[in-house]
Amino acid sequence: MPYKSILVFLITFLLSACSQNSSSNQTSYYQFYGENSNLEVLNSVDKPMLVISEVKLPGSLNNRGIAMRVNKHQFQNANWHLWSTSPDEMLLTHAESNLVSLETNWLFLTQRGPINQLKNNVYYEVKWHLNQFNGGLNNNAEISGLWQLYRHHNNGTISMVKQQYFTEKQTLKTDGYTGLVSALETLWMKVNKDFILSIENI
Amino acid sequence: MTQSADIKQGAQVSPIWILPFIALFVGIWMVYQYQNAKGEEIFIRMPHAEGIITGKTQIKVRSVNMGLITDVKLSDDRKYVMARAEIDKRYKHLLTEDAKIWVVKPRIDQAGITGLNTLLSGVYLEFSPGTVEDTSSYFKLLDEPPLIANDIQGGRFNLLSRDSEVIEVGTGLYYKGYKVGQIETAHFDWQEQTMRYQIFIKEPFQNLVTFNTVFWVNSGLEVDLSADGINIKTGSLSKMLKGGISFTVPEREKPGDIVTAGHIFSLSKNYKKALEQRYFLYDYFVIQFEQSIRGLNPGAPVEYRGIRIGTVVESPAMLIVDDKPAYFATEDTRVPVLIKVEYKRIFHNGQISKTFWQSNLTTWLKKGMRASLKPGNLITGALYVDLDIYADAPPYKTETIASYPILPSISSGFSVLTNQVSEVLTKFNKLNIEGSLSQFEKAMSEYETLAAQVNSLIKDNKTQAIPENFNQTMTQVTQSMAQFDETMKQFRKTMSDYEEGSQVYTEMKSTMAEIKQLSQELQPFTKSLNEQPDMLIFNKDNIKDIEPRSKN
Repeated sequence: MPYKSILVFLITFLLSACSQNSSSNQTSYYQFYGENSNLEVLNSVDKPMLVISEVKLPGSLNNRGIAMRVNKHQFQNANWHLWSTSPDEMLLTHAESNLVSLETNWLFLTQRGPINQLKNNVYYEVKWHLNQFNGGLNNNAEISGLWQLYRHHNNGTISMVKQQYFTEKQTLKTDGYTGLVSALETLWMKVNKDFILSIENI
Repeated sequence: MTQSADIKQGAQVSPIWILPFIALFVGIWMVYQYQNAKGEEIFIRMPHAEGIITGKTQIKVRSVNMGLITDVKLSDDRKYVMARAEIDKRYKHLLTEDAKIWVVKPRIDQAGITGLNTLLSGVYLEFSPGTVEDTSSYFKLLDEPPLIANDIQGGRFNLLSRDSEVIEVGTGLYYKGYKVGQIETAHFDWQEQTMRYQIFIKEPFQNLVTFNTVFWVNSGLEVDLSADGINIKTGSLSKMLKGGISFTVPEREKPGDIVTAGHIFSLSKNYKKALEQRYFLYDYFVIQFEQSIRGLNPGAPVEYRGIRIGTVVESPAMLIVDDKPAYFATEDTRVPVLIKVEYKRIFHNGQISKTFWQSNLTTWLKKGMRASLKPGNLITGALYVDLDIYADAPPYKTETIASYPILPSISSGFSVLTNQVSEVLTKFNKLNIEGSLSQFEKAMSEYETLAAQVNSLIKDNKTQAIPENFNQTMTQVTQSMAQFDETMKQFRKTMSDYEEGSQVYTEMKSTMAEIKQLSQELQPFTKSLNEQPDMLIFNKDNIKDIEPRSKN
């Protein structure tokens, strides 16, 4: 029957029209590049050990959508430009590799693997708390927060050695989210460098 | 030749006139048919016409449509609404004078939730035909649906209540816990300060209502704190929530004749009060106590050796003798208390009991029967009046006060205790303390001797052997401790599986990390879903992200 075929065609056509994705946007994923490849870390009890225990980002800063400042008090997370992994994980990983590349006389660890059972002579711990990690209003990227350095003593007690606040901004070199991610990576490296300088003076 | 005209009289009525006649006939016929089919017209007075729609709101009897509201208009004085309705001729005979009519709409009341179906269909009027033969075309809309339908048989009685709290219309009536009726109407008679209830008891239970029936409020939870102690009574859960009125014929009481409808009963606060109301055959007496009557309250029992025979009426009795209050310190320092001896408490036949009491009272009093105050409840400090025979009581003489006969009393309770303590102290004073002390010294020297003997016993070789047994016991204790230690080690080993660095711990940590990662993966999706709930069906909107810009 010809009308049956026509009916089937029409239904198929309508359904295909409904299911067609008319969205022109595509989701893009971003992450820090991280130039510090081929790094080698050897454990030694003589090296002072520093455990990067956490990098904390509050609320929407830790969202997969890259945060952009809309005004002084308002943020917006991107819908189509996402971090490839959660920002805190990414910052932790890159802090570790940055520090390892910057300072070879220390043993930098994160708490992701089994804990280091060796009793190092000097044992420090650092915690990062960021309150800015986003694109700014003046064509720039912003990063700010604080880090807290703790010392673990042999008797099991912990004492805070130093707490440092920081605020860094950098103008974007290129347009778009790639430029923003690049600027943020540069800033994070700078913050890590400043941290190394601080602990060298302890 | 002349010809004569032949004049014929034509037909007097033209046949054409048939047509108007036919038309008239058809018209009359139509009017008759219309009137015949029109139905009965009734008028319903209502306070307002909320939900009533002309030409739509129906009038129903047992959910069968019997008519329709045809017109609604405001009264001339604008104080009420008059609705006109057309009733099917077949139901004309139902329009009795005592018929009831009310609006059916969603309601929540004691019967539960009703009228939900009118949420969609709109309200309708329910018509409940009455029983009388006279019909009417004018009805008044009831505010609430009638609790008892006209066709339910039973009896209506009245209850009067002076002291019980107000009970709602619709509250159930229970006979031995079974619901047999409910309160139909309740109103407060402000002149007599009385609540008047009309109750309806379903057939055949109205036959349970006899002359000796007592009614009381069943609050579900009754807590009675009196000289008899703490008494807590509970009923079923529904009764606890809703309360109710109970009725029964008290034990050992004859039911009496079945009362006719409309009989008036008294409604008591509780069963205890209901029973007390039956003790209408009593005599008043005054008892004068030479002590404080604190704790003796009106309603407290009067007992003879634990048998209740009466009730305290006034404590103290507000008696005026020679224009002076007899209850306050005058020449006579005793405090009067008014009691009543209720004869039906002594024996269920009041008259026999009364004769018995009155003929023997003097004899009992001469034998030493006296009243005293006794603590009924140590927690509340409530007192009651106890009558007992005291052989050493002072002689009795007949006395009256303000025309009330006096029952003699003796002090008791705390005053007696005070006397006893005083006696004990006197005896204590008489004790030979010095002699006792010398005996105590002697006893102490004997104890010293005993201590020396115990010391020598300890030094004895046989006594020294005892520690061996002790050592053995200690060995066993050590073994037990070793086993305990082993158990603890096992426990520690088990726990080490979950310690930091263990495989289980690592797996748990990695699982948690995966969960965290998953939740972060879902972040953009949940955000989009939150902003655009229909994105699962339709396309995600093309919301543009803010574009970061360099200064170049």
